Amino acid sequence: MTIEYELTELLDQAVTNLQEGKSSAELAVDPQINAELAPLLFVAETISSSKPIAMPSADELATDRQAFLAELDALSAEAVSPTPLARLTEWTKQSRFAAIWATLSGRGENQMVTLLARAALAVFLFVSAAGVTTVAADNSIPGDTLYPVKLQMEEARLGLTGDSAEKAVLHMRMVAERVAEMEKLAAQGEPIDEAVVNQLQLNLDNALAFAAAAPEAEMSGVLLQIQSMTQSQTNALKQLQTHVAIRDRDRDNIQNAAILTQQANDEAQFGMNQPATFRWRFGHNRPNDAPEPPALLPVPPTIEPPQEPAADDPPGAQNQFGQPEADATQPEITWSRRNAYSPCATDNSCIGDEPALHQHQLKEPPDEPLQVGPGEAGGNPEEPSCNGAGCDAPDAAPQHQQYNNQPEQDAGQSANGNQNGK
Amino acid sequence: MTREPNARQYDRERLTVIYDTYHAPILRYIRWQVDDTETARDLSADVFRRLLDAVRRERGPERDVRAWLYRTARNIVIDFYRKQQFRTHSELFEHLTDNEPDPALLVDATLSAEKLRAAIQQLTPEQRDVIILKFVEGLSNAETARIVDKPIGAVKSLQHRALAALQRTLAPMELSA
Repeated sequence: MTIEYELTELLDQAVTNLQEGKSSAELAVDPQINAELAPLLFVAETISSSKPIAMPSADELATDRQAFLAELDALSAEAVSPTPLARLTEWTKQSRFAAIWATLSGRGENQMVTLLARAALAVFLFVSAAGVTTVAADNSIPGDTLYPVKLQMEEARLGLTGDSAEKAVLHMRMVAERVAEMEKLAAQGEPIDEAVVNQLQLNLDNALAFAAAAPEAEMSGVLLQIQSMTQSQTNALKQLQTHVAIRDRDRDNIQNAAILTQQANDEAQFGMNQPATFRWRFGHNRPNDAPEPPALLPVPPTIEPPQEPAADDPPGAQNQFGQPEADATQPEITWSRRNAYSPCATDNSCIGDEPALHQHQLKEPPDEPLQVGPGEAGGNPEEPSCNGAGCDAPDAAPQHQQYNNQPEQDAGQSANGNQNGK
Repeated sequence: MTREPNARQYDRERLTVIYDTYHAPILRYIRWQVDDTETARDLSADVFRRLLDAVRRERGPERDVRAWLYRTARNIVIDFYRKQQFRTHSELFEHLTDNEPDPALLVDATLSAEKLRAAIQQLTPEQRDVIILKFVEGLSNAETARIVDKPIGAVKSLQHRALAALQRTLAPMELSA
């Protein structure tokens, strides 16, 4: 047994050396590697350097992945347990519900415990009520009583997020929410107010502004996400326009919203192609002494500030946000990006700390040239790709190149490079 | 150090990452033990289906997802052959190989993967695991030990016996080729 144990240890050490790059012939020189171990080392080397085994094609792998994702989605549609009632029943069976009830009803032995339990129950009920309100507000649409609460909650969420990239994504989620609100309004036959489109524009502008303020490593990813989301939102809005029951004015508002999402899509594409110029547009890395950039679009006619209404003037109509309706005598503002350089320039109502973005002008000139060639945002081409080596590690990027799909006849290289990367 | 994804509860993104990370090695591990790619695809799909089943029951692997997947794959392969009823495992080569013949004559350095696979199929499931995980997947003794759920010493011993068995199996195969 001792001899076998020693041989096992010797063999393992030699195998380790083999895996570190030594050949079996080199190792056989070692006087400890006797005639008994040498053939085994040769077998080990042969396995490690064997040709890769035939694997499914890339198309087949893609099909398998789609099938898995479909099962994953089916799983998400299932409830954890059959019904909430069943879960409650199970909980009461397994918990000390009876004992808790006895405590709450004052039949427990300790009155102090009863008092504390009642206080805890009161807090619980209060928090639950707040939770119910939150859920109700989340599902509200413009015109609902709780809709302003929903907007306040969105602001609060932004306030809790410190990272520019996350804020950009959060604003894009709000854009998606605005589009969903328009769809709900249309489905319920409610008017789609211009204020919803205003809010959507604000979210789009802020998403782009925060993307411009994001760290270099994250900006292209955020822009890609913005581009993808705005594309789907534009499509959704165009689809919504075809809704037969929509009034003409609502259809115009939806069309305006679609134009805005399309413009944001173009802006994101531009940002990916020319990141430095994109940042510069939003006031980042722009020298203080740089001249003001020309407006991309005709400046809308100046809007005179509204006169203070006389005390006996009747109150004007209010929209669903509780704001006065636009005066028909005022000039109409063209629906497009009103100032591409300043997302909050038209009104200072940016959510969160947006205005600070435009004051954030660095003294240094731009680090990178303003005109960057295409492919800038496409990642570093010199970055080594995952070619099997280390791809199996848990933290490896989930890419399909880790599949070794070379048929036997194509593989002239050693399996250390091809097969397992070791 | 990157956090390894766990799969205790349903999380679409996390489960997708798990699939993308481990599907290739699991598929390769299975492919080395079955005759064709179609079977390997079916069995690897079964592995991830079991993962989803486990997640559905909130019994997915909380730690060491990779080891869980490999162990599940091993069980599935064993079940597969049990159902096929045509596979015969060779008895364990308990004794070490003798000194002859010359290995250079026995094992060609360009040995085809299929011949090697056929030889590996003659091993016991545990020996097969150690050979595939160590020499095909390139895992260390410690990683292999976690997957086969045995001490490192046992892995070394399995490795020794498996190599000896393969050497004996491959010798006549190559001589007759």
